[in-house]
Amino acid sequence: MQGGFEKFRKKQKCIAIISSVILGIAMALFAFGLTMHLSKLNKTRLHLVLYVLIPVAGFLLVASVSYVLFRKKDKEVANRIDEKYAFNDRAKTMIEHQGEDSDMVRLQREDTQERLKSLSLGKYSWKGLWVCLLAFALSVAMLFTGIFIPKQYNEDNVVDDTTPPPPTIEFEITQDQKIKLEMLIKKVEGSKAEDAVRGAITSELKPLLQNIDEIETAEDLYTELVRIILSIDAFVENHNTYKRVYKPIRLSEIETVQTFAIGIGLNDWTLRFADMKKSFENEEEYNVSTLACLNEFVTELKARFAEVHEEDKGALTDAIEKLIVDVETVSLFDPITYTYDYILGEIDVAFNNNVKPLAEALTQQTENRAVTTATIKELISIFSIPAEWIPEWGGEPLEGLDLSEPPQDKPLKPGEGIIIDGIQYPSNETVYDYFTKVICEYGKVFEGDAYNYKAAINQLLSEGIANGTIDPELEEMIREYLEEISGKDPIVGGGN
Amino acid sequence: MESFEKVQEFSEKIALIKQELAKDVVGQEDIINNVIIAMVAGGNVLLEGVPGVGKTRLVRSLSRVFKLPFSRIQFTPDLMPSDVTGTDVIEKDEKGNMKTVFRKGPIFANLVLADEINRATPKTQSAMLEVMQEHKITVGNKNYVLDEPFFVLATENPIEQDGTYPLPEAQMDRFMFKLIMKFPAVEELMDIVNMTQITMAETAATVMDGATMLEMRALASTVPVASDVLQYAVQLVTNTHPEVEDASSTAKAYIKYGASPRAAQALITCAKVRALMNGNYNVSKEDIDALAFPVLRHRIKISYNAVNERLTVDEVIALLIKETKKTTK
Repeated sequence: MQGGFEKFRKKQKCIAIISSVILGIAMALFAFGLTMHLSKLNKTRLHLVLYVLIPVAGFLLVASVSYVLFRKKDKEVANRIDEKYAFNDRAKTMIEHQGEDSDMVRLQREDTQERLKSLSLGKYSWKGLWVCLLAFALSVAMLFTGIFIPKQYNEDNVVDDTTPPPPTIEFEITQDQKIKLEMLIKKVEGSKAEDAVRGAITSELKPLLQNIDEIETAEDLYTELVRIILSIDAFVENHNTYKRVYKPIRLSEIETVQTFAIGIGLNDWTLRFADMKKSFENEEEYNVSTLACLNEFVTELKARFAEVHEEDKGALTDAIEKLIVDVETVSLFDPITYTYDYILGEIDVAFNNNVKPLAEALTQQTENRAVTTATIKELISIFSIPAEWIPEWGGEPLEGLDLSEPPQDKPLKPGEGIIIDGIQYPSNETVYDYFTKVICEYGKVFEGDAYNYKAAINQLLSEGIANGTIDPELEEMIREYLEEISGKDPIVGGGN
Repeated sequence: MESFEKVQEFSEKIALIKQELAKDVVGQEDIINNVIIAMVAGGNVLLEGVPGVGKTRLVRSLSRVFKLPFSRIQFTPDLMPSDVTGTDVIEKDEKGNMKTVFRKGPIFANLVLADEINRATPKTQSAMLEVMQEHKITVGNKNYVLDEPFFVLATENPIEQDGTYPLPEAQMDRFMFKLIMKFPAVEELMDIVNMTQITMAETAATVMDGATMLEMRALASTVPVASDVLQYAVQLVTNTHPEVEDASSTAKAYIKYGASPRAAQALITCAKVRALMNGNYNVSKEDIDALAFPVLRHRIKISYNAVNERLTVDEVIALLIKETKKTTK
């Protein structure tokens, strides 16, 4: 079709091409910008080809689709002409009847073409072009905005309080570290710690040595090491059970008992037993009450030990049980065998017989802790674990024994004494009832069967004193004791 | 080109017709245009106007311009159908024998003026139905075909309601146009008075004959119509019906009865003539809009809502056009 319509058809084609190109470029810029932003936000870098390929693909896709949509058929062009120029439907009539050849149709066609020639193309605009330009402007704006904004999103400004800060040292497991770890394992295996403790430590360290090459970051390594440290520390804590037992004894106000506890604690039996014997040589301390208290405490020792460690049948338990039995069998009132030195000797024997296994047991406990502590320190040294990674443990080696005990909220048994800060202590007001074989409050010994108790004491004392063989000093001591508890001279025959 | 010459000739003839009519009829240019369109398109026209506006004069002038046999029928309540169509009469021949002879009525003309058609009885009005549509008369068992071109230009007086018989819808549908002759403007009335002071005679000259008009009609029928324009015209007529599916809101609100399919035919046929008259070689929507009023105003019946809102038929048609433009865009 020649004539004026052709120029409109060409213009429509130009509009379609220009609009498609503009939209295509807008899409390319948008795709490029989006790719860049996403890469920066995810802290990843794509292959350079993708930064080119994605925008090009976007351009081609959008441009081709747009061209198909924007390119108008002749009928649509004719409609636009009639609409824009108030052309009285001439153009569309011409296009619709372009296949006909009647006179009037031909006349109409020619007339329309002539009129179209005189029309200027200015009115044949397309508002959609402005939309395309706007899309292009927005894409450019988005692109430039994206260039600047990601700079603000650097790692310094990203706050993530759910993960620890990355380690400042470069991560590398050296051969030297592996060798030291291996040597540590051998050292533990050859140590004097108990089998259970050695086993617990090596069962953690050996897998660490085997799998250490698979650890990729320092964070992972420290996490694992801290877990191992806490694990073996917790194991030896639970294994060294004597701590729960001796503390009440150590805090007792009775010197004899304290000496006994300190002896357990410091593991210096020779020196401490000498102190204990010396305290026993002190007459003021050596009395039925003192002996009863000693009996009481070792019984308490046994009871508490049995309660807390029912299944613990180790050397310490055996030693303590034997001690208790031996101390219990010592009697002040045996008229045949009683002598001051005999009692001391019996106690001496009791301790001597039991102190060795007791000491051995306690020594073993100490060795357990020492090996564990040394192992932990060695691990920290080998891998240079930062202190902030092991806050629960504190990072300090144990100097001796840790006395911090959690409070124990167990109800008191009758006559068991008092609880301070959750720790059970024997009361100064309790005594061991020789007759009933129970611990009771000091003032309650003579309740109930008190008359019979005193009568029995009187009888024994009378017989003992009357035989004439007792040491005068002991006789005087007994008289004073009886007067103290009864208020009258039992020999005279007074009493309640 | 022959067609071009024909079109040129068409335009010239139309211009001449207008020029001659203007000698006898002052103003009323729209009426004259529409009457010419209807005549070229081959349709009948109903002229409505108060007395003295020139309805009869226009028709007489048209008969002079087109050099067509003209007859005038004054419709009165006592007018019989046979007074219009003619009847058989018994006559004595030369020999003195009695024979039946059909006496043609005034309808036997090319241009018939049916004056005050609403004054005749429905019976007489129905006599016009067949001739207006089919251009033939049936009397007894004989059919008498009328010569082409045949036009009926009927007049109505909108003032007098007593003693009148409103035309039935069937007959109204046979009029291509209903044109309303308004009272002339002051300047026009002055011209009328001045002119009639000189002479009351019609001075319009003959421009063309019936054969020429038929040629013009044939030429106009070849004017092409775009499918959008055709659809527009059809949609406009459909929108006059409130009972159809997806009826227009205007029809639902203001129209009781819609136009018949003849309205769509009339729109396109007359639009072709109008386009050619305006020097266009195709029908446009503007032509349809302009012709919607004379084509539709007598074919639709507005509802009480329109009356209540004091809307005229023409105003309702304007709303229809507006709504149709929106829906067909």
